[in-house]
Amino acid sequence: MTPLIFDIQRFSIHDGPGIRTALFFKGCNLTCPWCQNPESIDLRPEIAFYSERCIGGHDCFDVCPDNAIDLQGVDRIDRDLCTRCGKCAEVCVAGAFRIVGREHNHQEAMAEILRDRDYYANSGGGVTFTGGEPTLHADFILGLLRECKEHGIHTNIETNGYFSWHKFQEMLPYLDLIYFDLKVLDAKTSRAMLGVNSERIMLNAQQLMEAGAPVQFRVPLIPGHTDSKENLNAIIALLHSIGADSVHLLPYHSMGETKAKRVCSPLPELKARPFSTEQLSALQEVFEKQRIKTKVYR
Amino acid sequence: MKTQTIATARVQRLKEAVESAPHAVCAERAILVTEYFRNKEHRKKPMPAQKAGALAYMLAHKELRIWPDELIVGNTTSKRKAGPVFPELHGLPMLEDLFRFNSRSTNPLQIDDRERKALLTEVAPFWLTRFLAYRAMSGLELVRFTKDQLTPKFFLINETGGIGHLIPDHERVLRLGLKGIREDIARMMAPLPTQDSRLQEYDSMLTMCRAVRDLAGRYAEKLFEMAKTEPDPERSRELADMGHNVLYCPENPAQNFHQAVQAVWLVHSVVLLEGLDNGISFGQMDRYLLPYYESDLKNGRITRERAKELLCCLAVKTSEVIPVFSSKITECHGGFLSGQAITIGGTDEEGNDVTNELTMIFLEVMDEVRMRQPNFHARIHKDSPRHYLDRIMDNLVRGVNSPALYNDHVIVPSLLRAGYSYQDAMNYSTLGCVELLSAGKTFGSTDAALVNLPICLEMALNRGYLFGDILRSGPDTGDPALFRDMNDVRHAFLIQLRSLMDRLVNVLAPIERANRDFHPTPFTSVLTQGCIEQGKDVTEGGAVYNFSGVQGVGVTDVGDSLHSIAQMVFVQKKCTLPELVDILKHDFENHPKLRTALLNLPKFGNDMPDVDSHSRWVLDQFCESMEGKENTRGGKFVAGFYSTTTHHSFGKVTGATANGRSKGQPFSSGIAPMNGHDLKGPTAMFNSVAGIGFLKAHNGANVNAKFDTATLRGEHGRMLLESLLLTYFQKGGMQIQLNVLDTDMLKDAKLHPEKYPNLLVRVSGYSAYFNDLSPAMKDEIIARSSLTC
Repeated sequence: MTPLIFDIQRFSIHDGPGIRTALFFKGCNLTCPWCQNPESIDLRPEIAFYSERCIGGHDCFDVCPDNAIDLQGVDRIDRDLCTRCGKCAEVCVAGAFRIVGREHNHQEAMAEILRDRDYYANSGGGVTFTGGEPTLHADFILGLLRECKEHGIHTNIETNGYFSWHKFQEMLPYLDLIYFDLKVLDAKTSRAMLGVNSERIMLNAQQLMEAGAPVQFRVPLIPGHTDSKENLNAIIALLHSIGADSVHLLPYHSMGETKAKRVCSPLPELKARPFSTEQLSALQEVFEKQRIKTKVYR
Repeated sequence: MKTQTIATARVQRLKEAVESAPHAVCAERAILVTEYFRNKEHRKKPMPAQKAGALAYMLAHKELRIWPDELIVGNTTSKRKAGPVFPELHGLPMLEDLFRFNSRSTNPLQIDDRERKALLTEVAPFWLTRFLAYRAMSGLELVRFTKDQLTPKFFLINETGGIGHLIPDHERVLRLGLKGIREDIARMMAPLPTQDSRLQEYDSMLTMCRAVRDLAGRYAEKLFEMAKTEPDPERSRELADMGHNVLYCPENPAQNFHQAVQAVWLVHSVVLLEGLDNGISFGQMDRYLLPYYESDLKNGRITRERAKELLCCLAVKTSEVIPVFSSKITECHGGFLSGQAITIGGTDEEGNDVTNELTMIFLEVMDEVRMRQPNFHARIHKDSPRHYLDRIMDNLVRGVNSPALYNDHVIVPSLLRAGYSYQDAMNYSTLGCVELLSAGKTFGSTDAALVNLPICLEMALNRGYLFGDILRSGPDTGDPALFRDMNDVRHAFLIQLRSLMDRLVNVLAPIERANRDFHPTPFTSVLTQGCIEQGKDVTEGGAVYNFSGVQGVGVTDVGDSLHSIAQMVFVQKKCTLPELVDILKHDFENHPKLRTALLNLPKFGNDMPDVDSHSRWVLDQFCESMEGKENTRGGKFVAGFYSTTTHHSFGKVTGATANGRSKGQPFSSGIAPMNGHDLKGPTAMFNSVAGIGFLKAHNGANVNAKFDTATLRGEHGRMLLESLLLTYFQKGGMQIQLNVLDTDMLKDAKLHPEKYPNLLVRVSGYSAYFNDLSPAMKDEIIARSSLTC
């Protein structure tokens, strides 16, 4: 099966070194309540509605086979009725509906990647596979990785760590960098909040370190979710035990909220406020004091 | 990396004085020129002698202004920040604004009642039947021309205002002095028989050289006087030194750096008053000033800081210069455009890198001065040194927005193709906004005219009529109902374009001849190689290189429209061509959906070769349409791609276009993608632009990119920016002007999203288009931008 890619972001300069092209794969096996890309969770395509683009036509209404268009509704689509056939997006000349998640075959994806190869070469950049959880599409990505290496393109994958080691191992020789997110380590909380067993994530982290893989651990700092003392200490303990000495910190920001509205994400609104500069420094301190180098994404 | 340096207190005071001075009109030039020409005896002389006499009279009688703190003297007008009036050129038509200069909304200008009265009663009546356009054309022709140029539809002619747009041969003045140049002229005159017509030109050249010497003498006298009465002993000494400097050079070869900078400015200020005060540029200053800097440094006569201060003083003076335009012309050339460029970096005539300590000083000058003028242009080539690139990127990421970058590896081959010698192409200079030429050798009229390209497509789709017109404006290119495919559409466009270009060349010819017959510029000719050798004025074709630069405006609008027609009519077959034309004629009335559909078709700028190929074709055809055409100076016509603000004024008079643009809306600026329609970020945009093919764009092209400060923050940002820009150059980009927006600009972007369609900002760990953000997020980014600078 060809996986869905919901965005190909060129001149991506925050997903690894240099100028990169980031491929966002759809589908995720975790249910983080703070998800910044809510449109990435579901494996199936999604219909996003951009109210500011709507010019008040009703082709969408006329064409919808499921009677799911509510012309008076703020969100336009009745998600309970919608079967995500995408006919509304096809007919809307204003582009107010967008299908989130399109099939790209290997050649198409590769062609997009190659368009900026000169920029990668000059900036020490490359391609980043992210999502969603890209490891859900390991076979497809393996093909792309192989070809990227033939072209000498630097490769990076961003993972939540919940993957099958066996599958991941196949990709390892072709990966120049692995961004590995550590979110919530306590087994109980992890199961409740993320819906998965954190032990598998920790084991994968350990195996990557043992294999000498180029892995960089990252911690999303989400107020009230991942920033508890216990959690941070558990992360530090893990890093120590597997011999990792640095971490990237990703502080929460509120951009995901507007995105969630467009796809009517079932995630409840996260009523969090971004950290102040002082709070961030204090969190940084927690790691630094225990000899873990930090880099904060701003 | 070196952190930002700060201007000296003197430079800051000078800068503040110029910035706080009101923009004004100065009638002095107009009054003095009129006084001179009123004398019938003067009008009996041959034209070059008349012009030289008038300019000499002006220089001898103008008020000299030496402002507090100045180290470099020379005022073009009697006010701190003002434009002179050229009644013999475009000055008369500009005076239609005489009663609204103060009150107009765009670029208001101060003028006092005394001056207004003088312009009205003394100047205007005298020139009413003598100004250039009047002399260039006869009755009906003039009426048609005036009517057409009041609201330019098809093209905007700039040459009725004189030609300007050149780089004086400063290097020669510094090396020989005006005295040495007079000797050269005398040598050329010696063997000529007394009735030889070249003697007239030589005589007026000599008049001008002497007039500039005398002007320098007047400044010296005034400086010595001021030195006597100056209470501060240090300033008094300074004034006396300045007096000695200006007295010695430009008359004699420069002995030191201060003299050289002073002489360059004095010569520049006279050239501004002679021909047209637009596009007068400085050339490779870091190169020709270097010997003076090095020898001063070696002999302990100067410090690096002092040299920088002198260059800052010169830079500030360029912002005292503004053009006087009427409201109508301001619509086409808004923002007090005067186009005084300084070129740095690049190579010498053999291709060796010329970057030196002065280059680095100039990079600091632009950082410290940060004013509207001059335009700083940095040449880049494969051997440009690391510290030079580093400092450029450092300036850019910190929001200096200067220098603009020029790619030698595209420009040099383009200039070779235009007919430059290898040596002259290798050490080219930049001029004005984006133009390219050989300093002291080219008389390029780089801004001769700008052409409305989308209106050619309008006529092509409507048998030569503009939408709604009853009189035909172009040839009948056939009924679009009979167009079988895109080849027919393109063919009709080409016929309209070529016919318009023929018309343009025909209109330009008498104006160029009028410049030759009624507005020779002997001092400019002294400063342009070839003129002394041939005894010819620049307006007669005396320069080594002669061109006329014509800009194509709306390239991507035409390209995207062709793509739309191909898709809608011939591929998707959603409507027939006559149906589409009818909808365009009625400005999408009752068809908002079709307009939206057209707008949402992919546009130039997204790295889609099949879409971009249309714009590439338009650009190429525009360049081709000039091949084989010759101006009256025996030079070629060359194509350029910048629009100043004519993409607005031309847009206003052009009907709806098939790319979804409504009637009257602006076109894209330069060769930029349609506003808000390049959706794939800067690498894709650069791939599209670089792929358009600049080899034939001999007159230059303008590309802008905008970022916020946070996206390109710090060392990392500098590296990213450098690799982004250098890859763009590697792929064939010709020029790039980068703007990093500060807090005020971001606030403006929130208020006027249409002005900043492609503004990429860093949100948090990733970047997004500013216009895609919610109001609250925009505020957050604005708040942050004030912290990160």
